[in-house]
Amino acid sequence: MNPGSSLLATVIPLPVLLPLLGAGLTLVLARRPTLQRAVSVTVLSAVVVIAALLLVAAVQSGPIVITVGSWPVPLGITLVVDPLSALMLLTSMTVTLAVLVYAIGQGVYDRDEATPITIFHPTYLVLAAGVANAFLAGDLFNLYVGFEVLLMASYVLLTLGGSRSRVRAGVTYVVVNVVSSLIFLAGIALVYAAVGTLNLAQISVRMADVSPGTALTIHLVLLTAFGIKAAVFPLSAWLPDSYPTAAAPVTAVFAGLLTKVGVYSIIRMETLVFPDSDVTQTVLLVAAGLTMLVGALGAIAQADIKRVLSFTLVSHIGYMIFGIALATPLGVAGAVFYVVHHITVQATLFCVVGLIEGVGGSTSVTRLGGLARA
Amino acid sequence: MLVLVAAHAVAALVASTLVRFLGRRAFAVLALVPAAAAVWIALQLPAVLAGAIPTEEIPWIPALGIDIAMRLDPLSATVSLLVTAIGALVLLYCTRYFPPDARGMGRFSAVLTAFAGAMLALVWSDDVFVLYVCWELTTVFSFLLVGHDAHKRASRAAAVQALVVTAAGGLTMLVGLVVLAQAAQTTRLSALVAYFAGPAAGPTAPAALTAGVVCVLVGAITKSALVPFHFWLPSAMAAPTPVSAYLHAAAMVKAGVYLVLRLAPGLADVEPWRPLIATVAVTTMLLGGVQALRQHDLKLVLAHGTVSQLGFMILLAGAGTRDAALAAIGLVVAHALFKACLFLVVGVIDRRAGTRDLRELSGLGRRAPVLATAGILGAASMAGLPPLLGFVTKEGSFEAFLHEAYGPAAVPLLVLVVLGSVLTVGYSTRFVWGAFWRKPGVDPVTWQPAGLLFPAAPVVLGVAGLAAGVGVTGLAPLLVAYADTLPVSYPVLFELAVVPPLGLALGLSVLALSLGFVVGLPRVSAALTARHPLAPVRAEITWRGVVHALENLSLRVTVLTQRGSLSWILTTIFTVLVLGPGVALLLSADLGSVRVDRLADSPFQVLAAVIGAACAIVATRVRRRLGAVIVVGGLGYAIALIFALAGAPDVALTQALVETATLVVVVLVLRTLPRDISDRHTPRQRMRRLLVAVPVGLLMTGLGAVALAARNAPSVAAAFPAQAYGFGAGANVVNVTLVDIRAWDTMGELSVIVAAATGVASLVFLHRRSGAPPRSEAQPSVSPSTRAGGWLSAARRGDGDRVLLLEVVTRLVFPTMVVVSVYFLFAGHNSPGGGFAGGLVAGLALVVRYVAGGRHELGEAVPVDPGLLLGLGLLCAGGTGVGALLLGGEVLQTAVLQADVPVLGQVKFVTSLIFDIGVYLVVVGLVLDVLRSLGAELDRRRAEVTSRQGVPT
Amino acid sequence: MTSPIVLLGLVGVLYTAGVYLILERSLTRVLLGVLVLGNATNVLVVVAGGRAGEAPLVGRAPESAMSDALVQALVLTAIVITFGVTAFLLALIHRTWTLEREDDLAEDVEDRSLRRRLARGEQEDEEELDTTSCENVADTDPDEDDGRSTESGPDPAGDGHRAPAASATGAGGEDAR
Repeated sequence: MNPGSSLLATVIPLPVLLPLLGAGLTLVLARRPTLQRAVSVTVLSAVVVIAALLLVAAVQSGPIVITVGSWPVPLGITLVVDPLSALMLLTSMTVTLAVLVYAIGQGVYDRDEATPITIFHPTYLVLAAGVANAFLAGDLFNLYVGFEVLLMASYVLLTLGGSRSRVRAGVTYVVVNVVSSLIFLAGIALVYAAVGTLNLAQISVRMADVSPGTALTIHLVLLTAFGIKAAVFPLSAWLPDSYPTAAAPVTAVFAGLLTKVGVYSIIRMETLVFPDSDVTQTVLLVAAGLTMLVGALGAIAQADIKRVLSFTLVSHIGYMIFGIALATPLGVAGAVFYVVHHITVQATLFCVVGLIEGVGGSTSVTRLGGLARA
Repeated sequence: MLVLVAAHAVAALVASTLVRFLGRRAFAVLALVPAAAAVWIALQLPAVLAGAIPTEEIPWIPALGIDIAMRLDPLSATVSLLVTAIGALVLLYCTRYFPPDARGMGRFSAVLTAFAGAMLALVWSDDVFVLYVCWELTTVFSFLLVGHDAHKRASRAAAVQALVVTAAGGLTMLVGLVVLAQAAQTTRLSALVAYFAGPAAGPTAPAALTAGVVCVLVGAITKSALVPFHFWLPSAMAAPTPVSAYLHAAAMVKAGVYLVLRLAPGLADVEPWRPLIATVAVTTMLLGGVQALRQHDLKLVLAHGTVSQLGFMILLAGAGTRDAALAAIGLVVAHALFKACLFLVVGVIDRRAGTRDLRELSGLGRRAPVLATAGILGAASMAGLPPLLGFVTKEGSFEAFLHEAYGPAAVPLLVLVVLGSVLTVGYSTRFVWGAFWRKPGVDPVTWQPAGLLFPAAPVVLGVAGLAAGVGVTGLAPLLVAYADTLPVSYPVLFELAVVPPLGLALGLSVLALSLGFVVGLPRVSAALTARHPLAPVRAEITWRGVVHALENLSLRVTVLTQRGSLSWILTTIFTVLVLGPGVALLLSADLGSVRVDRLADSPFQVLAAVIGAACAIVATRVRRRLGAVIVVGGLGYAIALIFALAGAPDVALTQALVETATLVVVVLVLRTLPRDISDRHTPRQRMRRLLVAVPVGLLMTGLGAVALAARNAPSVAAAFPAQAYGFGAGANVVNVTLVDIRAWDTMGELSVIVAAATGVASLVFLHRRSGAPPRSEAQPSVSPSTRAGGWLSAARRGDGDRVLLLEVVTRLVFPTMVVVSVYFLFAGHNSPGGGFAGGLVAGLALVVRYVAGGRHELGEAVPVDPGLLLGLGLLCAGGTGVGALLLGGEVLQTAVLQADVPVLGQVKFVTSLIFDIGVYLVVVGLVLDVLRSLGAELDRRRAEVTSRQGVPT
Repeated sequence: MTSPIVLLGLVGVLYTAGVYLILERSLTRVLLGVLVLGNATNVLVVVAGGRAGEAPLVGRAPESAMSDALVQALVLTAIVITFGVTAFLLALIHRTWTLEREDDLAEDVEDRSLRRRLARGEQEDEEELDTTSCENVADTDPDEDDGRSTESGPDPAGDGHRAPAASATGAGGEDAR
């Protein structure tokens, strides 16, 4: 670590800490919606700036690792900023901020749909913290916690308002994700049983000593868990049933971020923890192809734009997984590039659908037309 | 060059604004951009002919060797000159084509300008991927242009059709380009062609190369609307006429021809380039010609004529010989001039006469002589009448086949080409007759004078065709410069000349012309086409069939994979789990290493496990709702016992407390549901579930055993006790782990709880979360803690059911529990306890008061908004982190070793206690929130319903 | 490292029972399934710590005899997270019950309509599309309307605390049902 990065190192926890403090503050300020908005926007803007600084630092001086509470490396939790995580952090936080602004704007613009602001802001900030934590985690269990944070927040955001379709979708979404988290936790237990550590870097070192078959088995358990979160076929069926029901900004940020955290985890697994696993590369390759196809075909069959987009989202996950499965530097680079692009584009698309819904009153393609002029 | 392309982009961006200020005159301003480009190209021509080829490049993706490279060689100069010049004329024409108040002009002008820019960049680009990007840009822009009248169904359908066909072709082409670029090891177009023109490529190409060539050709064929993808072009007539003119003459469809021209020097010898092109192109040429003879709409006559001409052009361009290439590029120029001219003429007719149906038009020639002259000039060039450019190039094409283009197939192809020419002359005649002649029995059309500027563009183009024909020797060097890049197939070189040498070619021209005039006579053409002489391929119907089949397939696949039921999704997940890790476990995992050394650690462990297993199994069978809940609760306690036996007192304590809290909450909610769980499953469904469940159970057992057997390194936790005591200043290692070593996890966990509590409130109250629990209405302002004996005051007033024993117990138990909870909080660092356990005990104390005193008692006990507790707790925990950061900032200056103290500072004991207080507050907040939402609020609603119904409780 | 057979066996039994429960249609059983699976996973995590030992309290037992403190911290975290999830699922069950008077989870409306579209054959595709979207809208709208209508009724539980931005749509649609 060079001298310049030590100051930067101290800001690494902030992308998680600031939104959490913001969430606490917005809870305390429950009756001051204007202040709540101000807090949310300020906090996320600060996080975007920090993420940009971290990206510059990571690209210039290589990975920065900090140990939380200054506990020595294998004991405590590490937060890792390398170009990948910093890039994901910057992209995701920018989109989060943009969607927040959009949500605030739309809440004013579209008064018919009640924006439960006292619930929205703290939860949204918790979601941001969870996403940031998942990207920064250098520890397998901490990754799990990051997932849980963002998932719990997403449960709340998805069911915001508690209408019939949202509750129905919410049950599916919650139960599926709980199951995936339990599989993930079981996977962590297996990893710990096999290697006795949770630090990702150390796991990869010690995993090399484990018999390949056993390592493969554990690897597949973790991939199953991440596959659900990333919506890789055949584990993707939950996504199109749940995402389209949520409010437009919520769907936008979900579509942009949540599955990508799963994809990010798969990238970490394939490149860091279990590199050079031929079997999983083949498995992922096949799954990626099927995901592309099934997602695209599903999109064709739909009549509602939100559902069309949800299926294309699944299809695009296939492309990212494909890049990862190629397991070449270019393949992974392509996948990362695609992820970054997709976060931005998919969130934008769902925001636009929200506007279409506002202007046209429907998201069914059979009822819409001529909006380009409106 | 890049500047000029960028100028188009900028013009497109400001076009909308321009239109707002200038109305339709804005088109004239926009026309300056392509006009400037045309002038620039013209100025470069001497240099290009001299061999000094202008190039420009900026790096784009250096890692892949992809640059944004532009190149102006003779071919791209020729085509780009057409693109820009005709683009400028078309934009100029738009100033009169649109009514002054037309809607959507801003968008239209922007897209048209962008389209022109994309086409220009396509022609100039010297990198296959830049080419591809521009290619798709033209696809997208043409989609927008064709669908300009978005309110018309036909317009939308045509736009979508054009988009799907050409985009699919474009993607196929991309695959082909990637293959070719890989084979040539370069993405630079000029280098790629040179590579294949060299010794590398031959007739016996590897399969990959063959596939690449076919893919690229598919791209060209779709773009240029060749059979079997020809149907999109006539449909695209839905576009405004200036767009049609541009699309047909210089842009879009010409991209396919350009690609073939561009690649022919390198790839013409690779199989199956020639057979594929010859078959497709000749079929298209004849089919288009016949279709053109059958049309009544002037635009459609021209559209099918374009299809036919495109076939002709690609046939020549793909031949890969010098003479054919010369004829091809000449034809491209000629076609651009006459087709743009003719479309623009039709546009004027359409606007001024109100129709373009040739059965309704009559006597136009006399009314509008200037326009008619332009139209006739264009048609004459199309038919190949001397001395127009069309004639010169047609001569050239006949010569090319006489000069053995396509080797042995030259003669049969020549016959077909002559036949195609006959058809061309035929529909040219039909066009002129239909548009301008007087027809018996048809009233002359009403004609509004067109003014000077409106017909200007077609007149210019028509005259240009004439001038280019007469002065073809001036044009020739540029065209020959391209043609000379191809191999010569015949000892005698063909030269472009307006006065051709007497010979077979001239004879064939005369033959085609005379036969063509006959065919073009209305009666003859009607008779010829009446009986479907060629039985045209019903490509349109095939297209619909394909689309429908795709929709059907998508429906089937989606219905198969997307059942919409939770249990189906979960079944899939568990199946994957069993098939993935399960199969790996059986096949490859190190099963031999599993050692079995003991049944159990203690008899109690067996007992607890058996109780737990029994509870779990019973829980699957119990139908009574609360019964099932209690059985699962029993399982929880059994597991707490197991934890206690495993040397984990903290976990056991927390598990027992959480289990109790869970039980309470579950009962609170489920009391509103019916007594029994509905049981609608057939035995078969049960069996199915069992078939999923049992393998999962076996799998997890097996995984656990194998993973444990794999351990050959000590756990990192072995160092925890010493570290915890020395560095973390606590004897309770688990607590130190929670609030210090892994405090980061714990903070995440707190946010999970905060979110969960917020979510519960969200679902119960729906639109807000603020507000303290309800208190007894009588004395809302008096805090219970300031009043002696204020406890259970709500209960004393008799709302809710009173159970005396419970009240007494509560009075005894509540203070005890509060004391215990505080003890847990402070002692947790050194003995079992901690913030979690403390918070849960306090929460349970609240539960006791709520159960004993009803909903108002809750507010009496803690008269604050639970959101406040949650928020404060989170601020406490997070604040420790930020505070330590600030502290760490100071420490940084003195001791470098302490630099990385980002979360918890030097004064360990204090900070981690504050952290633990945060945990405590959050847990209490959670329990309070859940009680308030799922307990008190539900009570209130029930009371409200009963009071509304007037039924006594 | 090894583990006593009873614990591994218990893990297996719990997973089996949990999966069996969670595949039910009744949401109550799904919830019980989540609880059982959560417990199963927690036991697995403790098993992953290896041989059971003394409580990890420094001074009361030799360090070498202590059980693995790390897994205990993990389980504690997991227990609390599961508690949060349980509370939220219960709120969902409650909400489902007040809306549907059903404890079962209905199938996804759109997916079901696709299946019907396929079954009905191709000619009626277009009509079916329209009815689908109608159903869909009808599915959400009345609910919102109900909410609005109850809003006019008495709602003593802290209406005054409502944030201004939260406009007047539906609190507690269940009362009307």
